[in-house]
Amino acid sequence: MGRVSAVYSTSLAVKKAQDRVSETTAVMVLMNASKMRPVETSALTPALSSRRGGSTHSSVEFSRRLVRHSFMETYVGSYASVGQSAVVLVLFVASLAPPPVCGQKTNDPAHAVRLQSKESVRLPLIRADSEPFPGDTAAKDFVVRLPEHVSFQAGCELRLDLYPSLEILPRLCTITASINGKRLSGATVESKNLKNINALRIRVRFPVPEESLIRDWNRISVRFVLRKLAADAGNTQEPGMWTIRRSDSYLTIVYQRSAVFPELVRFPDSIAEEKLLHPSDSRTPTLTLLVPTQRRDVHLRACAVIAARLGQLGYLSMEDCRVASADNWPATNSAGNVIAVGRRDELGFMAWPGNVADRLAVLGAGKGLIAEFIDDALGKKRRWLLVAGADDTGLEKAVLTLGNAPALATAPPNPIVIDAIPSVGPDLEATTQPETTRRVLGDWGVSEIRLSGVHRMEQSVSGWRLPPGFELSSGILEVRFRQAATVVSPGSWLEVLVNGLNAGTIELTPKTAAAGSARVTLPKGLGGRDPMMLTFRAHFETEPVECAQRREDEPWLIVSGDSTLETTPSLIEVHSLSRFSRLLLRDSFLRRAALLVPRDLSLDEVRWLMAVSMHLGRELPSSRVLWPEVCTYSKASVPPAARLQDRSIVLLGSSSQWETALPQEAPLLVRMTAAGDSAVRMQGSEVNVAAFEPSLSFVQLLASPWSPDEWLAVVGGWREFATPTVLRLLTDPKVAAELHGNICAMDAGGRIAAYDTRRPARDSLAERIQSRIPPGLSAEETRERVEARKTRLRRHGRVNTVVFYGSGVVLVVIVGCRLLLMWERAHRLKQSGQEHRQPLESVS
Amino acid sequence: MNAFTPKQEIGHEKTWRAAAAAENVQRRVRRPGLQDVVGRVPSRGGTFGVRYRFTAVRRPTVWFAILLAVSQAAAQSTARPVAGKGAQANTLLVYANARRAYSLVDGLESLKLRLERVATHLDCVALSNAVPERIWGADYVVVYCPQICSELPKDFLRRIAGTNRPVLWVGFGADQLEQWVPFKEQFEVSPFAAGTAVTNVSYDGRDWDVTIDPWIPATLGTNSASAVLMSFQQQVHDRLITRPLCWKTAHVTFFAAEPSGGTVGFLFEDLLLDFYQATDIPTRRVFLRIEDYHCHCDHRGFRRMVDYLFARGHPFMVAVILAYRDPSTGEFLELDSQPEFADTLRYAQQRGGRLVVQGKTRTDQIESRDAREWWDAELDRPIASETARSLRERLQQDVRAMLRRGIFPLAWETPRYAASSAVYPEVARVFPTAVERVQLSDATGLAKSEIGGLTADRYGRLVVPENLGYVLDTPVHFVAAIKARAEVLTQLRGTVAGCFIHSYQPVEKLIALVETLEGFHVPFLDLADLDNRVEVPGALLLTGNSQRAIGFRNATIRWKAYDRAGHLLAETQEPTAASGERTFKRKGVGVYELIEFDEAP
Repeated sequence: MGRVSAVYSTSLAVKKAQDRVSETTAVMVLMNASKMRPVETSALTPALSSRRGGSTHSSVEFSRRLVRHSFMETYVGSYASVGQSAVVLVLFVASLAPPPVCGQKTNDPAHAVRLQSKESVRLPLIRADSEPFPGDTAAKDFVVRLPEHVSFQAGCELRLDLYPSLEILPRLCTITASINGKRLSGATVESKNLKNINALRIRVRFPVPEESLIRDWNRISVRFVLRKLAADAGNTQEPGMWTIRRSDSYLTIVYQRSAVFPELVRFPDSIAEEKLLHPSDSRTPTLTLLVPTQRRDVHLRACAVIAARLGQLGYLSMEDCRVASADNWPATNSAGNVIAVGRRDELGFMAWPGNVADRLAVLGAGKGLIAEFIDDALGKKRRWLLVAGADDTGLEKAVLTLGNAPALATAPPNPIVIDAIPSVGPDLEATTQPETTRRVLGDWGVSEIRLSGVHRMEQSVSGWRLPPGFELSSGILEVRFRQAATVVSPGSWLEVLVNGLNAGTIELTPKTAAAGSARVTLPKGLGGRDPMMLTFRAHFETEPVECAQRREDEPWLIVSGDSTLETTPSLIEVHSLSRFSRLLLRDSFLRRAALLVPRDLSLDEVRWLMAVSMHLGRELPSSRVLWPEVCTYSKASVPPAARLQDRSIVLLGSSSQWETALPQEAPLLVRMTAAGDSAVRMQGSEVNVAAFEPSLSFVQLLASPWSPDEWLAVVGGWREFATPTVLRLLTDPKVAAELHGNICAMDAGGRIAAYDTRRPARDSLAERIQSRIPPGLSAEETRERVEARKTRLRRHGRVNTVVFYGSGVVLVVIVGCRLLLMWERAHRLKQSGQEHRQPLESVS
Repeated sequence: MNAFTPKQEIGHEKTWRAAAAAENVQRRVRRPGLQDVVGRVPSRGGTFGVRYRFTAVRRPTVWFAILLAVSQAAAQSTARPVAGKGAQANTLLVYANARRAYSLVDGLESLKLRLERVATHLDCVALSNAVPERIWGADYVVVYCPQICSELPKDFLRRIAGTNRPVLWVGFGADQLEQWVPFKEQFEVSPFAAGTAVTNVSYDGRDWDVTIDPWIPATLGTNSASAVLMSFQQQVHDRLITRPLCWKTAHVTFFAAEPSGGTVGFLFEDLLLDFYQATDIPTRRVFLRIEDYHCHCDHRGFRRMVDYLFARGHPFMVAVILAYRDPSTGEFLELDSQPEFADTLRYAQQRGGRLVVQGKTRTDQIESRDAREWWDAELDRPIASETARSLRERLQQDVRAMLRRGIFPLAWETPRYAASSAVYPEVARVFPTAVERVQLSDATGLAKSEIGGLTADRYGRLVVPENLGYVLDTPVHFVAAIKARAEVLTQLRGTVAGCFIHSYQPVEKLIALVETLEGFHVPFLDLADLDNRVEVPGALLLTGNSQRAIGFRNATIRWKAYDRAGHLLAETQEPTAASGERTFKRKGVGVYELIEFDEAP
């Protein structure tokens, strides 16, 4: 009976879907007819339509950096066997079957003008290999970024392969999808019982009209319409789990390449967006950076600025970038865009286009040049970006202009001659200094946030600006909301999360239905992030409802746009390595960040340096200016103090190179001895290097010798610094979370030892390192050893406790016995005293 | 009405030289160079007008100056052609009716716009007032009969037959000249229109796909000395006979049709060049206008369009909507509060974009009152809710805001090309240059001119005609109509073919449009090369050879010159305040010259 009703309800759902599609089609026809009013169709100037404009997209939708991959969450996945849910699955599939009247308008493939061939690419919906999410999720959002240099053609498709656990199937009515708010129709459904891994898969394919795709961020919303089962013995209340895999859930786009032309203002997107069409290809570099063979500080700074700007894109990594010597250019010529950096006299390797060569030739002293042109020497168009100067001063001006997006936007036409370092105006400066503010969500363009469905739905908003160099002194979110009367209490709540961390939970009760309000205190000390994400996650409990009665928009909760957020930020203070990840981020424009590196870096080390800068850019995607400093040092030349003042510095080098950069009195905790690389002085004591893990890398925090209020982090390994281990120290958030104290060591396996010399400790630095990172053991073995040691310590502790208290008890017993004996003796003496007095009285 | 009055002279007509040398395949936006510093050398009083002591001047300088003058003159002549009898010649337009029977279209106005394609003094008089002195005093006579004329005054016919002035007879009534010398036995013309349309005509040695209806059947006499200028083939009883549509007999050119919109109008305008024996016919040009750009547009996408046009080396126009009403808050967003909008306008200006003020407040609610502040499209009538004067004052405020930010608007576009006739003179006081299709009358907003080249309208404005249409919102064939019409216009002499693309369109459509226009191998028009003038209280912006007489009292006068990209090149201030009236002309420095007046209270 239950199955018959399920079939009936599913067929009702199908019929409703058909009706809805018919209505939609009818509405669409009506809309098309109403575009040209009758009076205007008879105009004597038929070429002039009354439709005088009307953007299909508002500028708000073109916000650049506010949507990030952090929308995607990671969970642990699980699989279940099929069992008796096959029938339910069939019914579900039937509910998704496209109605016969549905059809998508096809475009005439005979395009005007351009005869570029069409290409297609599959863009995965998630970054990880797989991603689980709760089975009671009402809607799941995915974000896909599309480039701007292509036009989308017919044939795009969204494919979703969903792996449900068994608990989900009895509750699932249907699955819908929309892209950028536009509902997708014409779904094709397949299901498969994967016998080899005994798992269930539902594959849904949606044709995607090309006009619903936009350049840049596209939001794909998948909605799960669930029914609520009665809580009886046969129905499990467990939510279950969905899993989605990167390999088989993707958006296929069909595109044609547009004309390529110089677009300096779009840097860095213009030079890197080809990567978006090859997300999985790490063999072909997206771009090549050409630098002179003899590199100076200005070239390294250029690399850092360019890498930081590239890092802001979020989808580029150093594997996608090549660094090559300009002098070897013809030999290393390959496809992909090119950025060339150098002084005028260092750029003779290339025959530049006429207008660029002319400008370069007449460039005056102290002037820089930025030029972009397109060449198709290899039969494929690619961009060249030239960053040059008549001298180092001019080259630096050009570099800093490239690192300043507003300056590029207001610069003269290409090729640009740069006379001066671009200034940062007061409005721009204000963006780096968040103030105590009281804002409403409406200030960020959010009129309201609507959450609906059974059971769980979340939506995030951004617009709140708290850069990574700041933290929250205090923050209060006053949430104003109302909810549907069908929300059942208890069991329904609204969670508020900030950057994924729970900040508060609000119970939804009948009292809050008409107008609810709650204050959520945000955690003090919450670190800033770019962008800050405020997530509202609702969990709705409802009365049992069948698929036929289910409405997608029920139950609902609306967070009002006049909900207020009051925040007081404060600059992060760095006192220990626990804040190491923020050290260089205390200014959103990286003007307080400096990297101090040894002179004469190899190309690999330059590339490594760029990876660090790219990480900094990734942390600041919405900063309009990125100006990190890079200086070099050697035995023959000390770092330029003027450039390092008022900056937080990361000194990179091997352990023997550090002291070259620092004054003699710098309190380095790890110093190589004069005896070479075999011995090291730690906390004043000489220790054999061989006693330590060879892949050790150190990070030590000390006061900057160039600025009293700034910090210096000395980073490097025994013999080199440009290693994956050091890179992890600098960029991996999981590693950063484990750092504390004022010196840490980490090896290639990820084992970390932290120490604080400013506090008394039972062991020395060397001992700590050796105990936490014993040489010759793997990370697993070390963990086991540490666990064993902890167990031993706990056991010893227990023994100590037993001995302590046992001894105490014994002592107490002994003392008690002694006291008892003393009392008894006294008592006996007293008794004997009384017997002696009585015989005298009987004689008289 | 004389289109030109001494004080409202739009600018000197340029003498155009070396037309063949100027037929560049693709005109590039010039990078800042000497000419942007020195400025255009005017053809009168310019380089050749300066007397050099030849022996005192070094030869390279002289050659350079000559080359500069020639290249500038060759590249820049875009003014209207001059009649053979000179720009001061008089054209008398005698009309029997202003429009065709049962039509709201003001055919007379349309004809005037076409006649103004050639620079003369145009005088318009009804047939009943066409006294002999008027005809004898005219250098050219045009007779316009859009309706069937039962009987024209014999005196008038005799004067037409007897005058030695060139006469152009348009429309009906030519049959009444048949019996007059020198037209006897030269032709036979029907007094009525034909019942069918003509779909293909021969003109200037080629066939043109055109629909002409109505047209007046005519045949030439067997020994007629008439010269056929335009004809078509007609099937008559299994025979194809050639019928004249336009012919010249003696001093009269007959055009046996109504030169309404479309190809027939363009062909008619080309005929006018021969009628007037026009000289200095400018090079054909095309232009492209990015439409409806406002503060809520996608600035990034707009910059891509600008970058593409700059990369192709084409100047272009941007129709700017200065005010936007945010639908969610109802707040008016204007230039002052939208720095990114202002920055992007400057960005476009630096890269060859010429700004055209599109006078409407943009909202996303198409039916809102504000969108109809210029014309009631539903009722098809003018709106009387706000006075034209207050509109002008608001416009002046907006222009001042632009000038303060170094953004130089050069022309005007009437919203939907329709406004009350009271509005145009007010707007013309600020913008004497318009880029649009001229609305023919207040009777309807649907009847607009389709002119093939630069012309002047009844308000004294220089009109740069948009006549190709716009890029459609369809995925395919979105430039087909533009291409079809441009194929006609770019074959005719002295034309300006203009189209527009909305700012929200993807850049791929712009690329397709540009490639289509490039396919005609016709240079792109730079609006800054025309003699534009923008006047607001306290400021006067000049380009080209424009000039203006302004009266002031106790005013400090500042003069600034800007290059093509809008960068300040030179600046001076008169040391003492001045009073009186003065004619300000461009000094020839840079491309834009801004004169500011600070009148003491």
